[in-house]
Amino acid sequence: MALQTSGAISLGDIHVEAEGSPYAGIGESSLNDANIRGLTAASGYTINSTLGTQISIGDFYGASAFTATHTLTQGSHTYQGNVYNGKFATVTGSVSPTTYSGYTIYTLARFDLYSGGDGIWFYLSGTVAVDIFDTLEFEATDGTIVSVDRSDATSSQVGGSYRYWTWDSADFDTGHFTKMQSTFDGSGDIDVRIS
Amino acid sequence: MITLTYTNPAPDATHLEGTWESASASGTFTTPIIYVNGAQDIDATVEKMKTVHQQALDIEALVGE
Repeated sequence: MALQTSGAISLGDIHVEAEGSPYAGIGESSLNDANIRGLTAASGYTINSTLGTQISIGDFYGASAFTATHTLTQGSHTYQGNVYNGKFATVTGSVSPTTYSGYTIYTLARFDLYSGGDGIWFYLSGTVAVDIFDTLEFEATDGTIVSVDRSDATSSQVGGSYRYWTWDSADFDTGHFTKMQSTFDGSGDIDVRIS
Repeated sequence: MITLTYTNPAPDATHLEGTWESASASGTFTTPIIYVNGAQDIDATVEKMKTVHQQALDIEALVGE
């Protein structure tokens, strides 16, 4: 989750963002640590990654350890009670870049199905190894980084056409499924990291 | 109708893997095994796989329209 964008901000807050672990106290981190200088600055801010250069604690407002590999520009399509939000085949939405590891991203979307199914579906075109990625993450609208593991997905290779992976509510951390639902609302961009 | 073919997984397996076949296509699948009270529930796992894959095929039909 990105650092706060206003108000008090401490070295401990920055440490937690950079390390993902609790801050033990003064001396554990400094603004001159490589991982802290490696945080991604929020829009309008700059974090100089060169160690030893001048920096202000205010430069870390909104900074995040999350670095997107793709930008998902959402579209929305409704058909027979099914709602598809995100990039759905050639029907709606787009993703940039258009490929992952050389394979075209055919679909990356939330399917909210009339039958009751609701989750994330990720398709790569072609004949694709099931373990071509480990984790799919995205930044929710409230700044939370929502992550699903490939090993939790149900996956199928459909002939030589494509492979899909899909996750439902049971595959998300507590509270993150609702964040997915509110983020994949069919409008705006979503920062995504596939790794 | 989808037909799944698989071999019974090892007692400590995490995933059920196999092949599927429908009237018009075929392929492979892998899905996490559902455990109930520490025991594998293969019937539930197979049903979930069939449900998910039928959804995928229905979606594909939509794209083709």
